[in-house]
Amino acid sequence: MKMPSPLPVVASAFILLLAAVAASALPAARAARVDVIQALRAE
Amino acid sequence: MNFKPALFLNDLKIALRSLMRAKGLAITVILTLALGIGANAAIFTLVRGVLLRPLVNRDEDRLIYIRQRAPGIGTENTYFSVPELKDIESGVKTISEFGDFSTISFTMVGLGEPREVQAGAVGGTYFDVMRLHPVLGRLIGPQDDGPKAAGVVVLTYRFWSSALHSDPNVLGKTVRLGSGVMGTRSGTIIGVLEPSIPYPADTEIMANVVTSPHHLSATMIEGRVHRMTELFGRLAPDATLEQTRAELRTVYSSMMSQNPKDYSKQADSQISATRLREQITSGARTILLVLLAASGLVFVIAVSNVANLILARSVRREGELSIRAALGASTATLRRTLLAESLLLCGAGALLGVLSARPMVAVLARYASRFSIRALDLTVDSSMLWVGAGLAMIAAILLAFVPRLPSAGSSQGFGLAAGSVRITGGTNRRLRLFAMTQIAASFLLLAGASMLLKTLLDMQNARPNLDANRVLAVNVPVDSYGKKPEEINHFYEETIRRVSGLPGVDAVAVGDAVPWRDTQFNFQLQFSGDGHVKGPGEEDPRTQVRTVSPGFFAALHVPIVEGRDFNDLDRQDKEPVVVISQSVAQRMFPGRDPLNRHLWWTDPVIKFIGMEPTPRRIVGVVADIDDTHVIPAPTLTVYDPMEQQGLFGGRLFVHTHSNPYALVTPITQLIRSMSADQPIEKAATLEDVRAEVLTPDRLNSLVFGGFALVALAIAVVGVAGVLAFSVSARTREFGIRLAIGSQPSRLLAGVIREGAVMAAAGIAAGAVGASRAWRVVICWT
Repeated sequence: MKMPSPLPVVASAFILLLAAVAASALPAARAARVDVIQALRAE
Repeated sequence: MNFKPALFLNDLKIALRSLMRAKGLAITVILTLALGIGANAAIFTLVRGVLLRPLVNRDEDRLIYIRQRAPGIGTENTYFSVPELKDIESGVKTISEFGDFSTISFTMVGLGEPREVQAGAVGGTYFDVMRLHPVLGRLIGPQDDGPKAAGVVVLTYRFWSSALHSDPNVLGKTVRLGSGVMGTRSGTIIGVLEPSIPYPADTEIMANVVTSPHHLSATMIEGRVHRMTELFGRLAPDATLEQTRAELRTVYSSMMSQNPKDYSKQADSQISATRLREQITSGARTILLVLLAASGLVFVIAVSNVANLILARSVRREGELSIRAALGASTATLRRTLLAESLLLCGAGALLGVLSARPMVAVLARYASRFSIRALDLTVDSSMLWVGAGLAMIAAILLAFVPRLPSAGSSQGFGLAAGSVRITGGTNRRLRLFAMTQIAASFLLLAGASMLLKTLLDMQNARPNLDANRVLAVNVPVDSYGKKPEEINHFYEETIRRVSGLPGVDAVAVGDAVPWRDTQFNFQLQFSGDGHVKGPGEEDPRTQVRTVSPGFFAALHVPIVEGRDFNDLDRQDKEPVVVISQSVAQRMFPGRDPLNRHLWWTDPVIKFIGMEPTPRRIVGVVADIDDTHVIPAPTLTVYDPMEQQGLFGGRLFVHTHSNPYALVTPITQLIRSMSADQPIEKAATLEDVRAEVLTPDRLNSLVFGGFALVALAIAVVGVAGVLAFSVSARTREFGIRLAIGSQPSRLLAGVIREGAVMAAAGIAAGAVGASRAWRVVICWT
């Protein structure tokens, strides 16, 4: 059996990374929009 | 752990009430687990049904398949000749019974539409050895052996139920069985075989040897190199498979040393024996085990995802758990509470998974039937329930021990003083670990599916050296009943002439084999040519042989590189001529013009198949046609003209500039008007034939692609969930940072970086796992 081509493996890694970054966007946007006064008052 | 049933029942009631207050979480967890458990239960049922389920043959663990192979010339199964069978049967004592089976094609007339059928010519002991029973009538037995026996036919269950609609009146009917130019015999239908796995070939009928004139000929009986027969055996009562293998090797070695000229050194001939069930399932084993591994990965992803959800829930419940701990609840009691909850969730997930597994089994069985016909008669049984229950228990126990429990020994005591959600370092690490596990498992599935997809695209994009789109191929097998050889050729010439006159037809020709479909005609012969000198120890090269009519290359748009096509002057009484493929020209006449040179057959088998070693003049060179592999490779092929070397297969090729399928009816009517009993079947364009060959690869890509997409979706949701939970727990931190001057974009970049790092770590872990798995595959294969 010969070694498979690296292209599918690299492409898969890239797709996963992209998907994870996209998944992080929503929580990241929430973090950036935190209301300072509300956050400190909650304590 | 204190495990009184009454207490646990109480825990279950409390868990149910608690989950009713968190319906969203409960539904998400149940659905995720249902997916993971359902997929595994379905695939386990498939694996068990195809690989592990006993055959219907009685005492099947004593039943073996004996194979002769020649790896030196790339032949995995050379079959046996009659003299070889006799030597083995007389020499091997650890096998008490032998049965033989030869796959042949007949044109069958007298049972509905005339048709070409795949048949097994079997000896009288075959069904005894296979321990199979009839559902109607009787099976072929020793009384049906011998050249003076009457011809008898047994129908397979699949053929009888599908083509003949289980007609109970089929017994006693007589059919005409044509073996092409070899002649025609009749056979009486004596029985219908019980449903069983068709092996070694998926045949419509089985007949005794007397129905095949070729099997009764001296060439078949005496020719040691004329190999057509497959051999089965039953181990003697006290014999083991290892003993039989050793004895077979000894007898085989003695046979080879007594007949050295019939076993070339290059071929490196070997003999082996395998249990029949292993032999039958070998084609599907790899794909099913890979499918099982893929579903296992989906289960890991599902459980990891659920573990994160449970972990997040337990962090939010820390207050409740802390109060209970402060009031005296032991760690064991709290753990029992969590176990009750996870059992409820996993039990519900397992139930839903097992219910959804049934339709999944039906879909997967149709997919797996491409690799093993055993998948078609799968039955769903209680094993699926046990698999579901087992997986649910594993998941429940795992999930019960995932959350960290509050204790007085921690630095903040029971943590009762803390107000908001508080994620400890340990909990944070577990959340990230589960997210990375999902990413790693998804990477394995995605990488595997991508490799399959790339292979499929490579195969689809590979173009053969012929026009596959506009060529209609039709099976018009040779029917020699009442015809002399010249009348058979005249029939095909007249067919070509008449079909050429149909509207839309550009070119018509006849050949032996439809590319990629008629692989049963792929035999090779040794040959030599003018000026060809063999190296020391080198044997004559082997080539594919095809018989074609004039106009074959024009009909398939195969480029003629040099010389000419066959024409009407290349007849039986004229000088023998051939056309060769480019690879033959390069191999035999490197740097020289091959035209008008000669080549001749040197293979010892030619005397058994009506071919002569007469030198044949090369009149043309054509581009290679690899009609065996979808991705074409250099192929040695020698073409004989139909008039000089009779047709074996009988396949019509019609090149058209209109819709090829619109020609099927007029072609059928035209041929039937010439011969009412002529079978005409399997009309398809060469492109569709090629696409059909690619179907298993297409299905593989679809199934594994589906797994990969589901895994990707769950993993992405997992990462988003972990980060969302982390952000909600760090609201105060973000508020302070913003208050002291940090830019919102920096916070945004920080969270995205966290997600990317988690994904990168998961991908790295997945890559390590993939390289380890690849090494295991290499060792295994």
